[in-house]
Amino acid sequence: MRPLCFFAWLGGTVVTLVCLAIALGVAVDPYRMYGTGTVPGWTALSRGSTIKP
Amino acid sequence: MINHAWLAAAEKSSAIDKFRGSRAGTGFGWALTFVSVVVGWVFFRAPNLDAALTILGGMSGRNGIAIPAGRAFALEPVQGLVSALGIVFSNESGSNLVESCLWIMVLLAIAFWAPNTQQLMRAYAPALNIPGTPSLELGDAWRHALSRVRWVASPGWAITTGVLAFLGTISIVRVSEFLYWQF
Repeated sequence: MRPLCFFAWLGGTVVTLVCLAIALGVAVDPYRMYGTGTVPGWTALSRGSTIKP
Repeated sequence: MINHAWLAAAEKSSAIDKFRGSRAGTGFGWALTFVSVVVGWVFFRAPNLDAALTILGGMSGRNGIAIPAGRAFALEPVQGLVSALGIVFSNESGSNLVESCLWIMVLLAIAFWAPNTQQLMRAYAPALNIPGTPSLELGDAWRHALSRVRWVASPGWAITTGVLAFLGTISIVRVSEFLYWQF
């Protein structure tokens, strides 16, 4: 396996996980930063949040 | 220092030297090293000597043993032994105890049996005269399985490294005090 190919796999993994983490943050929106609607029973305002819903 | 003392004792006494080479001696050496490191960590982490001695006293059971009352049912079959040992029940969280025990078991298994970085990279000669076998005595099946774990440039290792890099990065937000300010 060529070094460039190895780093492509590694970087692709990190970028994919970062994208998934961002998507999860936007979907759950625990601090009401993105205006995503809540799903009763699934998402809620974070307890530590000082931002009013 | 303890290692040198242990080796010096083995040089002077043939009985100790014989014991050191035996299976029991290997286990004793491992236990001595482990306990020494754990005790050393207490002094390393404590703000002063008194605090370190207080923590060591607690670790050795000087303050008694308390178990969360929520887990008392698990000790009902050995209630007599519990009373004899002076174990008391507290209002601490039982789930915290279980979680801590699970973490300790998982991390001990990694510390004892997982190959270290030198062993993982041994195909690429990361150091001179590195041992090729895991540090603890294991059964042949385990030893054989672990000896096959080695780093190669492959998509699997790239993904594994990427996942670990990601987990390490998102864990940065956790509070972890800088320990070296005392030195």
